[in-house]
Amino acid sequence: MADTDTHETIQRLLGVHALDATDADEAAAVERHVAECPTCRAELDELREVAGQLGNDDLEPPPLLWERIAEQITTEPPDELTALRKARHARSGRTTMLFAAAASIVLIAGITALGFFAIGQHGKLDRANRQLASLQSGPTLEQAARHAAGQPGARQIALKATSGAVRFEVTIARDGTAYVQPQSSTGTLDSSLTYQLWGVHDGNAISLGLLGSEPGVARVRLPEGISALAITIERNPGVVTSHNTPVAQASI
Amino acid sequence: MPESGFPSSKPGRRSETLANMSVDLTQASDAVLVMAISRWDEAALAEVYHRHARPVFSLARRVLGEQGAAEEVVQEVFLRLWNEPQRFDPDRGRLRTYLLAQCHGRSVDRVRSDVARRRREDNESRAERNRPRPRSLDEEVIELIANERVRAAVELLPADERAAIQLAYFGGRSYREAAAELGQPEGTVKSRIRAGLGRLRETLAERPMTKEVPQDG
Repeated sequence: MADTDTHETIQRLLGVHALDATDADEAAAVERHVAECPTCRAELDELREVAGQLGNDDLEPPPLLWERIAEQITTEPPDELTALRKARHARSGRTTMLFAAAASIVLIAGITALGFFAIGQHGKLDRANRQLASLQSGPTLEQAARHAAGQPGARQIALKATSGAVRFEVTIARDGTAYVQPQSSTGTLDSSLTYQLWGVHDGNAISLGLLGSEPGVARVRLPEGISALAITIERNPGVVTSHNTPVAQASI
Repeated sequence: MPESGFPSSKPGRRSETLANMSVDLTQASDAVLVMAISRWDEAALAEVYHRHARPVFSLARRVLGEQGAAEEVVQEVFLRLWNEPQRFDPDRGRLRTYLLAQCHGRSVDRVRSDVARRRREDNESRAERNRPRPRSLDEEVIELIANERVRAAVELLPADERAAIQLAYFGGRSYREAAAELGQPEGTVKSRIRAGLGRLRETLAERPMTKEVPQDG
């Protein structure tokens, strides 16, 4: 059809598409257009919200359904997560971590030993991070970073761009706590994006957390055996695997 | 007392993923839970399930007309959230809307492939007889709509618009299939769906909903 992809044609299909009542070709055309047209995307999102209100919640899922889901998430990948759970139960101050060997970078996070606090200024992700941060109390991180830098055994690492410009300064305390501080040359990102911190262990990169689009001082507990740090830019809310070139990195 | 079937009915689902500090996930917003899921926090997925599994299951059950397939769809939806949390964009809408859209899409795919399979296996008239008929009482489906304002608004829709939306949403029909069943031109059905949804949207907009509503039990 000649005019299948015109804006008007797609607009007439948005309501139908929100009910999943388009055929496969039309559905693909709508999704292609919506990826590039914020007006249609917003309208589609509103219509999906309306569609979502047509349902109800009177039927209870069977009791064992959650168990079946839980089984499937804990067996993927089995060895690493079993080891993590054992390590979590072992409850030492530092948790040894195993990483999935994979061709691409794999995330294992949400570990007891990792703490991640972000003080960001703007954006939904930063608000979400602040919501997590606001649930804990403690000294402000800038003070904590300065204090840590003055302690014996502290190290300073500069994360640099390929140009050599220093984008982030990292203070690593003897106990493995790292404070990540953006430098003046670090740009603010669009609120749809975030800086993401990675630690390299045995050739695999693990996500250490998100710094937000306008990062302030962040604190993270480094797992043992991290040989390098890197920062990439990702779409919110970060990624499990990254194929982006780091904007800053350094060996430790 | 029947088992609730939900993970840990104890109040205050705890997550230990933040430097040994305990976070009460029941207070966290949906967006925060999805962030925690992206860090492989199983307790966060459990809390999302606790909040949203009922409407997701109810929708799948209604569209598919059958328990086993509905359970599979629910599993697929929550596993996909676990494996690809980045697909949820909090700027585009609420988590529940996203989960219901995923559920509906998968349910409709199953309905359509079942019909296609039966058509291939039988001759066409037998497939037509076997396919689930639209509920003869659209009253029944309307009464079940949980949101009172939407329910009232659906009742007020012109009958043609309501029938088209019902066939499409709950019957899993494409608008072409709906047109064939209703004996109406495709363009007409398309515009009736559009008009009906537009009316419902205006009704909802009269008192705008907050974007993230903490879900109780």
